[in-house]
Amino acid sequence: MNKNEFIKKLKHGLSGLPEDEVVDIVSDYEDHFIAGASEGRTESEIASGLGDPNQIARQMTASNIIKKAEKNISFVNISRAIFATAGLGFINLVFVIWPYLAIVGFILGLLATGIGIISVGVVTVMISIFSLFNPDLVGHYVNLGLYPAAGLFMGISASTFGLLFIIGWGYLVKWFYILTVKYLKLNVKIITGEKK
Amino acid sequence: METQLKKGVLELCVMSVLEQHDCYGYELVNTISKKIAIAEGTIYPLLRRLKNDGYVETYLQESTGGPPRKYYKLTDRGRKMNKELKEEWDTFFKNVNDLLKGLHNEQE
Repeated sequence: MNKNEFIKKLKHGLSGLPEDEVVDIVSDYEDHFIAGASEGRTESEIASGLGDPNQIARQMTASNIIKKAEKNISFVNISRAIFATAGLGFINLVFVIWPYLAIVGFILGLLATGIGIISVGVVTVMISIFSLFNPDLVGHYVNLGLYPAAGLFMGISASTFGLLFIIGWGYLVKWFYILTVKYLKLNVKIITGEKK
Repeated sequence: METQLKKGVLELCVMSVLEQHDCYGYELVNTISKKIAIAEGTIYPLLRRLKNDGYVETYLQESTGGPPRKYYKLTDRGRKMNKELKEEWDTFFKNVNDLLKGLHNEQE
């Protein structure tokens, strides 16, 4: 591989990054080629010493994408970060991806539970209020062992509980997100030899 | 295993070289790859992160018969970090060696 091929592959691999950053990174490697050539090394010697440009590009992009997911919290960003880190071929992630997806499923299940509780509460409140103004229906409730006033109270309780549940869920998601970012960073650091 | 080990100490090596004197990229990469066999290209991503984290800074300096070179310099924060890492390394190195010696004696 000569200099042009190396730089071309590197640029291609970096295409997801901002333009000025790509220019900056590429210039480091161009300088490396220039300095190497001035010591009498051939372009292919220098290129093989540097290693695989695709792997270098993956390292550069992975940490960038994780940083983005850390700054702008979104489902799309964190998914991208997970895939970018997995793209580094770190075996750790392959083992972790299924348990991880199971946890994500569990968290989504909790959200559905919270929404369910709120829905039941709101519907109960609505039926109770409705039956308060339609005494004809009260008979049915009494038969069921449920008085409108009691229904109202239970409905409000359920709604409130559901709401608190969802708020707690929000904290759980936030915590889980931060944990995921930390885990991804750890992976990239191990891969690229950065300690701490 | 060996590769992971090398990568783990790369940061310490880079910072220690820079502690002695400022280097331009190629010089730094060359110094390290003479002692440790590693894909040289992986040192640049490491330098970028060290710079982003404020452990090193860069400046341009004219070179004889070529374009200006980007020099890397350890910041105060970097010096402090390097000192900590070095102490960690010394302890780790000593402990591993003690264990290896112990194992060796048992085998004899």
